[in-house]
Parts: sequence; C-alpha cells; structure tokens
Amino acid sequence: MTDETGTKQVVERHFAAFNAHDADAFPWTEDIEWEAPGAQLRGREQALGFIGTFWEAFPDAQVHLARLIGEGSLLAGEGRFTGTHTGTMRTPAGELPPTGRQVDFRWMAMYEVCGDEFAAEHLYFDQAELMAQLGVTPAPAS
Amino acid sequence: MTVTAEQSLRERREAIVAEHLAAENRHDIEATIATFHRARYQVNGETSDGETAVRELLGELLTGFPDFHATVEKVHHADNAVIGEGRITGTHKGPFSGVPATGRPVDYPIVAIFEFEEDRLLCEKVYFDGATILTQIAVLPEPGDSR
Repeated sequence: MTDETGTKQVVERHFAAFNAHDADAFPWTEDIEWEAPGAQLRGREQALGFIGTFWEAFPDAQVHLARLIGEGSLLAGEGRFTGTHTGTMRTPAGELPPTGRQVDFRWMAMYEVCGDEFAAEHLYFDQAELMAQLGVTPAPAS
Repeated sequence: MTVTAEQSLRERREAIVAEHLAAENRHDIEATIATFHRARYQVNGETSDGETAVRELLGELLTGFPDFHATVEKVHHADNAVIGEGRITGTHKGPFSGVPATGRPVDYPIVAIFEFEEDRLLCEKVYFDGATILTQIAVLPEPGDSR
C-alpha cells in the first residue's frame, strides 16, 4: 500500500521531470500504460515519444498542477500546459512549422501509482483547443 | 468524521452520480438538473452555470446526438469529489457545434469529476478530446490522411 505522502512525492517528481525536460527523471515503470488523446501507448519509450513531441514543439513547455485529488494508489490531477510554439510540431496528421504562438490549455490526468513510480497515466485534454490556439482552423474534410 | 459516516456519505454520493448518469442517458434534462444542488457543468473548462445554461448545453448535445449515451466504468472517491473515467457514444444526427448532421457514430473517452459538498452535487466537470469528435464526424481528417 502506498502512503499518501509518498504518492504525492511521486507526482512532484513527475512534474519536475517534465518541467526540466529530463526524460530520465520520470518516475515511471518500464511498461507504463499511457493514454492520451489519439494515443494508447505502452512502455516508457512510447510515452517519452509522446512527451518529446511537446518538448520539441514547445521548447519552453511547462505543466502546472492546479489540483491533486484522490487517495490510495489512484490520483487525479488537473492543471494547465503552457508553452511557445517555436519548434516543429510533429503530429500524426503532419508537421506544423513554428508559429511563434503561445499556448495555454487545460488538462486532466489520472495516475496509478505503484511503489514510487507511475504504472499508468491517462491524460485528457482538447487537441481542438490547442489547434485553435496555434491558429490551425479545422478545415472541413471533403 | 467516523468511518461509518464517511462510508455512508460515499454511498450517497455514488447513488447521486448513478442517478445523474441514468437521467442523462434517459435524455431527461429536468431529472438531470434535479440531481444537482446547483446545476453546473464545466466541459473542457467552459462553464455552464445555472439551470438555463445547463438546459441549453444538454439540449444542444441531445440535438446533435439524439442517441447520446454516457458510461462511467468505475468511480473513485476523493475528499470532495467522485471521479470516473468512461466513454460517450452517439450518432451525429443533428447540428452540433455548427456542423450539420453527418450520420456518423462517435465514441470517445471522457473523465468526469463530480464535485460535492457533503452529499450535494455542485458541478460535473468533464474533460475529453474535441478533436477526436471532429475527426469522427469527418470535420478533421484522419491522422495520416494527407488531405
């Protein structure tokens, strides 16, 4: 059983790693289950690939945890992502060259903590909001 | 709070969430509103506060997706909230977000936080990916489609 303080520390290390853009510092299990909009990933390498696209597109990317709730090994976090789009954004739909725009969007995440690591993260945010902030208007598909 | 009182509070909260979801799935907007102490949704950060705003929000959703159905698989408790991950399914048979009906099915993951004060439901906060819906109703191209 994970104690409350220990669990919160794992979350803190996770956010510190993201904000330092330090891939090795993420407190994740090797086979972390990672879900995000349009992505169901398994394992540290795949999850880092997802995070890496944001670090590349937004070299000043930061996440800000506004609220952490839950108990035991299951927690829910709410917060914001901020960054300036000065790098290439690589998406499954193609590459978006730097627009110089600043983005600031909300997310929510569910974390499953195992010992002193995350065994799972399910991340939720609205990619349509991100695209709108980048000035990419959804074009009707013909 | 004693363990028994805490247990009882959690059971009451779960019952309210179950009733709330059942009312949403019956498409009974008034019964959905009645499960709140004060009707309030926050959808991807956009707030609909009060009965009028909530009627409008749910009305638009049910117009766009007349077979709207929400499932929340397992709920978890926090101090002042019940949290659940689930899915929303429906068929885009009416105008939604300015997009005329396409007849296409949607099926997307959601996470919901039901905010409580004691056993009073104060807000349902929902997060999901709007781009997934836009892709499923073909407003956005499929990933990898170079249109």
